[in-house]
Amino acid sequence: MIIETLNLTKLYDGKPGCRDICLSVSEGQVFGFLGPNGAGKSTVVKTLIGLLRPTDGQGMVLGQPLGNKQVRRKIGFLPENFRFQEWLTGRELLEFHGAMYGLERRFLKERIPVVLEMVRLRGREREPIRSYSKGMQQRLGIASALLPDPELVFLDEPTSALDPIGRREIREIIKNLRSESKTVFLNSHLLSEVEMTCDHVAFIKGGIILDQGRLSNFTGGKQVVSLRYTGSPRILESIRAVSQEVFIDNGLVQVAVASEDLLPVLASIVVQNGGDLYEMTTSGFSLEDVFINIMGEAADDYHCTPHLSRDAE
Amino acid sequence: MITIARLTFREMLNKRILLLGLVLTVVYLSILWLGLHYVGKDIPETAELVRLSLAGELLTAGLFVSGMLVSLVTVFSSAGAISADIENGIMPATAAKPISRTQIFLGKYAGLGLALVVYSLFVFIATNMIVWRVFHFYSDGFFSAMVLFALQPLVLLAVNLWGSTFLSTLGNGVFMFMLYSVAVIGGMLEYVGVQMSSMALTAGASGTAAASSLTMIGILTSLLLPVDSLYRLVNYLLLQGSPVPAQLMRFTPFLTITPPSMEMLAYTAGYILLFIGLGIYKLSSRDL
Repeated sequence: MIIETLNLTKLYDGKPGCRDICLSVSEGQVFGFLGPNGAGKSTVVKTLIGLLRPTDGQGMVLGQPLGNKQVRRKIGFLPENFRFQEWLTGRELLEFHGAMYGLERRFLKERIPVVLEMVRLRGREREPIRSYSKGMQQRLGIASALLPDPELVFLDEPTSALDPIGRREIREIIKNLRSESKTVFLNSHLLSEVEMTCDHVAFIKGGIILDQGRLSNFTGGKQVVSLRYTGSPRILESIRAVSQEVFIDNGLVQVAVASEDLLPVLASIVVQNGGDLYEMTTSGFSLEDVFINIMGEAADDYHCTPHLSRDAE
Repeated sequence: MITIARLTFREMLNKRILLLGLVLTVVYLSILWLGLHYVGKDIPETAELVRLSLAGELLTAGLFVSGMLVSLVTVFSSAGAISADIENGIMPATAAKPISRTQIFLGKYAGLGLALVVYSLFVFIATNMIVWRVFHFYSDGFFSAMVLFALQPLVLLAVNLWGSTFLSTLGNGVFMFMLYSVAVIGGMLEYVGVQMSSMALTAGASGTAAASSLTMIGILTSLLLPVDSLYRLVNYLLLQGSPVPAQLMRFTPFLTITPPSMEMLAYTAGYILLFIGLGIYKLSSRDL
């Protein structure tokens, strides 16, 4: 395993930043870590890297305990809201970060143009960073994370400052990393990014992992049935009896179904309970649906036993 | 560590506070030169003792202001050396690299220390040059005094960096400024105490309780921040190695008749090491 944690917990003055985190990320995975703002995503990443000391639990990264200095040679990290010494040029910043990685000058001379090309900053490296746009600065941060040709890359909200073109470029970089069998741990609340790049996901809220597993196990083969009807509350109770993934959005009752066989069942539930059915449409099950469903289900005091519930093949 | 030190040194040169400090230093040195020029012009060549006495007094006064400038530049340029990097998000990216936090702290100390030592040497040499140019005043203790003068920012820097590991930039700056003020006032009170004892002894009486109390306050503040005692040792070395008779200098508030002991120097060295150690410990054990 590239990352493995057992009940990893970080408390801030007694308040949980993250609690009982059990994660397993294997080599070559692009792992999406999803949650709303303040859910504890950055706390988990910082704890894995060794910037925060865990209050309890254990963790291994690249086979070594958390915070191991030698392991950090093989890790690339883009922190959330990455800031720079703005008076440096892009190239000087990369040279500085390369020196901190202990990379030789000869290697850096070859590597810097490569990473600049990857993030499409070639030709701008002699300009001071203060003249860069937010997107360019973010891409420079990614270049810095990729500088040592790392085995494991942590990207904390890498697309938050980017325009749609910039986001697309980051997605391409992540896909390239996957094709090179690099392991990527992607922290994001932008679901579309995760959906398009990740193969495994975990959902976190209030510092607790609510669910995790293969992305395809959450979204694959499922459909969402949107129902608009009038009638007694018994209808909703009956619908919940046939599908546990039910949520209400703008007056529409949305039900996740594994196959089309449930469509006539849902219609008959409405009719047999004396309701009037006005609309019934189906659509694909997106990660956003899964996210809303999981986050909606979890009350603030939700307690969850960490498990790999969706990882079964 | 060298990488961090090199970057910190360059960062220091880019800071406005250093630029502002340099401009004010040039203004101060110009005023000092102009003032001394007019003072020295009216002294007859035959009044050798008066010339020497004035030279010594004005040199120590000049070094008092120079020391204050160096201290203020030290405090305000390094108050956020670590805290600002934590606050603005630079530190997580740095600490995630395969370097220890000890290396980060020592790199910061070395980079800032080098810039501040260069600055303090410039101020010290310039002040001495002005006095030498106007009064032809030279002291055999010049080089040892210069080394001790350059030690002052290193003392302040050690405490300042330690504070920067857990205080906000503003909080640390205020804390350091107050600590420095206490040390300076304490040094002055100690001087008054020593003078009172000396006068009482000259008159054949024993020292008063008030004099002892003032001296004790000075000693305690010197222990709290041994910057003023270094300044007094600098003055002592400069005047001791010059042809100025000690009795002519005894009533200037900038002179020390009894210099700080060698134990005090050893204490200062230990003090620097202690705060570097505390800073490393605090930075290594805190969350980023």
